[in-house]
Amino acid sequence: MPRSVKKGPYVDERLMKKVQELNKTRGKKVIQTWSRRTTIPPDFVGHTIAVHNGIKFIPVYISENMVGHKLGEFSPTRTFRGHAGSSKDSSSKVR
Amino acid sequence: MTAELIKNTENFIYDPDMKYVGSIQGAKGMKGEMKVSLTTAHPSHLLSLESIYLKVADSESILYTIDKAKWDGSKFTLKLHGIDDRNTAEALRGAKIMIPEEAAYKVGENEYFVEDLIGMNVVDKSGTNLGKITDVLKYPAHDVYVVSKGDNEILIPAVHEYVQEVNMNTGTLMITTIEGFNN
Repeated sequence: MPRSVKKGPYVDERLMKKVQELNKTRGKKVIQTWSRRTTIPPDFVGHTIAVHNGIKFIPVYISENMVGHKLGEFSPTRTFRGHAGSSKDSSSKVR
Repeated sequence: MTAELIKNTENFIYDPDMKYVGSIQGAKGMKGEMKVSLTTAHPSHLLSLESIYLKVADSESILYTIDKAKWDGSKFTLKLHGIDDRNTAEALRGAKIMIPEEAAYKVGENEYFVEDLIGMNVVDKSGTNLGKITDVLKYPAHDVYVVSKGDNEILIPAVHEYVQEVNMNTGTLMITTIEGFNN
């Protein structure tokens, strides 16, 4: 069952406060959080939030198309490293 | 290319400058289709090829024309010209699929091979050396570069906001750092 529309999306208060402060001062800083259940509001766009995955903080640069998703979606708790003999030609794109 | 092509009846025998992209796992169905185990990270690129080379054990590579290639997201199947029954396909089990270096996947704009990135020096705008890239982590939003210097480890999101310049010739990557990266 989805969360009631009346309540609005859940956003961790302390995290929101930190982002709003940065927005006010136009500052840039990586904000650490354990709140994986926070829904990304539009205010977060352009900020980098280090989301804890149970082991370490993964920096997530928030872009417009992430709005409405939860922070935890971008910091997986399990990492599949591939089978033996897997690709040697994997590439990485700067987005 | 210094490769020497020798014509051998219908097929070519070809050796140098080859890239290993996968191997034949076995036959699929009765009409000569084969299951392929891939080692390349770009299977969809193989769909655009017209031919591949097969290398069985220590023999030389033999050119085959691709009749049909299919990638469903997890399994790759291949039908080669001249291999029309299950027994012939089964005999090729374990054969290595090779493609010429020129036909291999080429990276696009702002895209780099992970092998090339690993070991690159990372500097910030002021020229301070932050360490070397030791790993590239794949995450849903973007990749993350692991930059290590001694025991210190920094995670840098692979986004234009932070990655300013990648210079493959000098092996350096210039980034913009902000407070909080060092944790």
